Amino acid sequence: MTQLLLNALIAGSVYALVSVSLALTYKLFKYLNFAHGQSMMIGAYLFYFFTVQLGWGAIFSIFPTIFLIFLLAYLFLRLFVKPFLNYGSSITFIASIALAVLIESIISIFFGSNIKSLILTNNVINLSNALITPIQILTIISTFVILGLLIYFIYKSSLGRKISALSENSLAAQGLGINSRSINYLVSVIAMAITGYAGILVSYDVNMSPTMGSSFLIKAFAIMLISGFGNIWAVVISSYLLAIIENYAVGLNLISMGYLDAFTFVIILFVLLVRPQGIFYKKERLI
Amino acid sequence: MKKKSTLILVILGAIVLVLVAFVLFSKINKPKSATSENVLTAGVLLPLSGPAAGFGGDIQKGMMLAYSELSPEIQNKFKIIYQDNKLDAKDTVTAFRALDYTNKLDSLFVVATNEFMPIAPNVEQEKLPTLAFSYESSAFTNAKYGYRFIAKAQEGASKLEGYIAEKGYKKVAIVANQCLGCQMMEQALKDKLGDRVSSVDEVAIGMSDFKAINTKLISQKPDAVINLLISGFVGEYAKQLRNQGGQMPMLSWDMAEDVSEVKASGGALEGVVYVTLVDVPSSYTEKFFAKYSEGSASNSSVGYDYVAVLAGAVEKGITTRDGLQNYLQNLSGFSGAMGTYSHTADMNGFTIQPNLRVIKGNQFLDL
Repeated sequence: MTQLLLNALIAGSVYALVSVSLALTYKLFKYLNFAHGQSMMIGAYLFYFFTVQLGWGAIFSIFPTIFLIFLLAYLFLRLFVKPFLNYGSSITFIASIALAVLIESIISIFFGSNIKSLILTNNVINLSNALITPIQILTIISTFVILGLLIYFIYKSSLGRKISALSENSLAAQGLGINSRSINYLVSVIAMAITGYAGILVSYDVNMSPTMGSSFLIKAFAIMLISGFGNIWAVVISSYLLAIIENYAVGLNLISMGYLDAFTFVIILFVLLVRPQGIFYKKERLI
Repeated sequence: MKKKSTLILVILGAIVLVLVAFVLFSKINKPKSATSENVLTAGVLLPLSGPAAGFGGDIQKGMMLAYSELSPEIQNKFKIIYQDNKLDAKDTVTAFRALDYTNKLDSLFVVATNEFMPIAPNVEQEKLPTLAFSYESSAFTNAKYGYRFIAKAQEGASKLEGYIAEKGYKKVAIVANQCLGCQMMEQALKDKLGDRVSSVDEVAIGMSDFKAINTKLISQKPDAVINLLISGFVGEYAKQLRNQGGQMPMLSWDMAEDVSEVKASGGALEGVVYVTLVDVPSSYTEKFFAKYSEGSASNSSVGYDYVAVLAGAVEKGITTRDGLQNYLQNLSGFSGAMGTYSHTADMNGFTIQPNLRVIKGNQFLDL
C-alpha cells in the first residue's frame, strides 16, 4: 500500500506541474493550448541534447536548456498565439494543434523516433518496504517547492496579482494601467519552463519520445475539467487525486492498465454529471 | 504602425515555414527514383510516426540498407515508395488507397497483422503480391497473394515454452501491449503454458509508467515475467520493474533486440532471454549495427529481406505482378537476413524459423 501511495505521489507531481502550467496559460489567454504537451518534450530533448549528445553534464546543461526554452516560449507566443487571439479561442486552439504536429515532426527528424532515456543512477532507496529512486524523490520534493513558489508568486506578489487581474478581466486590468504584453510573455515563459522541467523529470524516471507529451496533455485537460478550470490549488489537488485513483485502481486489480484511461474518463464523466462546474468550482462575485 | 507590425509578423512566419519545409524535405530519405519503363514498384506501409515509429523506423533502416547494397543497374529497375500507416488499421487502408491509386504497384509490404487484415481482400482481388510483417491469421487462410513474412506466433511460443520448462518455472506473469500482434503472441503463450500463466496485464500502446502494475505483479511473486511490449517500452519496463525490486528472470521477444532498448533499460535487460520470429545470422547483426548505432537487427532484417527478395526477382528480369507472384510461389532456399527459407503453403508463408537469444552487454547472442 505504501508503494502505491509513493507511485501516486510521483505521478501526481508530474500531473500537477503539467496541469498547473496549462491552467496558467488558459486563465490568461482563454484557449486550450494543444501544444502544451510538446513543451514537455522540448524540455526533455533540449536537456538530452546538452547532457548526452554534447556531454556537458546535468548542471551545465540546465542553463542553455532554460535559455532556449525562454526563447522558444517567446517565439511560439509571437508566431502561433498572439496573431490568432483576436480571432477567437477556436482559431488559436487550431493553431496550437498545428504547432504541436510541427514540433513533433521536427524532433523526430533531428533526434529520431526511437525512445530515449536519461539515466542518473541505478540506486534504489528502501522506505519501509516501498522502493523509490533518487530521481523520484527529486520529482516529489522539487514539485512541492516549485508549486509553493508559484502559489506564493501568484497570490502574494504584486506581479502575481497583476496576472490574476488580467486573468479575471483583461480589459479592466489594462484600463488600470497593467502592461498585458509583458505579463503575457512572463506567463508563457513560466508555463513552458515548468512543463519543460516536468519533461526532464519524466525522461529520467520513465523515458522520452517525440509523442511523450500527448498522454500527459490528455490528463492535464482531464484535471482542468475536474478542477472546474479553477485556481491553482484546485488543479494541484485534482492532479494528486487523479494519480491516487489511477494507481490504486490498477494496483488493487480493480481495472486493467490497458483500460486505465477509459476508467479515468468514466470517473470524470461521472463527476461532471454530478457537478458539471467541476469539484472545486467556486461562484465568483461579479461586482 | 499596426499594419507594419502585422507585415513583419507575416514575413517572420513565412520565413519560419520555409525553413521548416526545407528541413523536412531535406532530411527525408528518398529512394532513388527509377528511370526505366521496366521498373518494379514496391509500396511499403509501415509506422513512421506515433508511438510505434521506432519499430517501423528499424524495418525501414533494413530496407534502406538492402537498397544501398544493390547495383545501380538494379536500383534503376526497382523503386520503393514508403507510406506511414501509424500502426493503425484505418490509416493503413487510407495509405494503401493513396499508394494504389497514384502508383502502378507491383508489390506491397505491410506492417503488421492488424493492419494487413483490412487490406487483405483488396490484395487478393488486385492480385498484388504482398508480404506482411504478420503472424498467422485468418487473412492468410486460402490467401494466394498475401504472404506471411515472419515465423508463426505458435512456433515462437513453443520455443519460449521449451526454455520455461527447462528452467522449471511454475508461475509466469505476462505483460503485453494492446496490439493484435502482441495479443496473438500472448494467446499463443497462454495456449502453450496453460495454468503456468499466473497473471496477464495488458497495457495501452504509448503508456510508459508501469509502476502500478509492477507493484501488483511483484506482490504475486511469479517465477518469471514475459515482457511482450513493443519497441520503445521493453527496456523501460525492465528498468522500472528492477527499480521497484522485481528481480525475477525476464523473458521477451524480438522487440528486446535493440541497442536503444538496452541503453534505456540502464542494465535491466542484461541476461534477458528472448525469442525472435526470424533467425538472423550474426553477420547481418554485425553489419546492421556497423551502419546504424541503434535499432533492432531482428525487426530490420524483415525489411532487409523484403528488398533482397524483390531485388532477386528484378535480377531475373521480373518487373510485373504476375512474374513476381510466380517467383514468390517458387522461392526456395533463399538465404537472407532472416536465415534460409522457402515458400510454404502453411498460411501462405515462408519456412522462417524462430530462435532463442540472450542479451549480454550490448550484444545479442544465440542461446
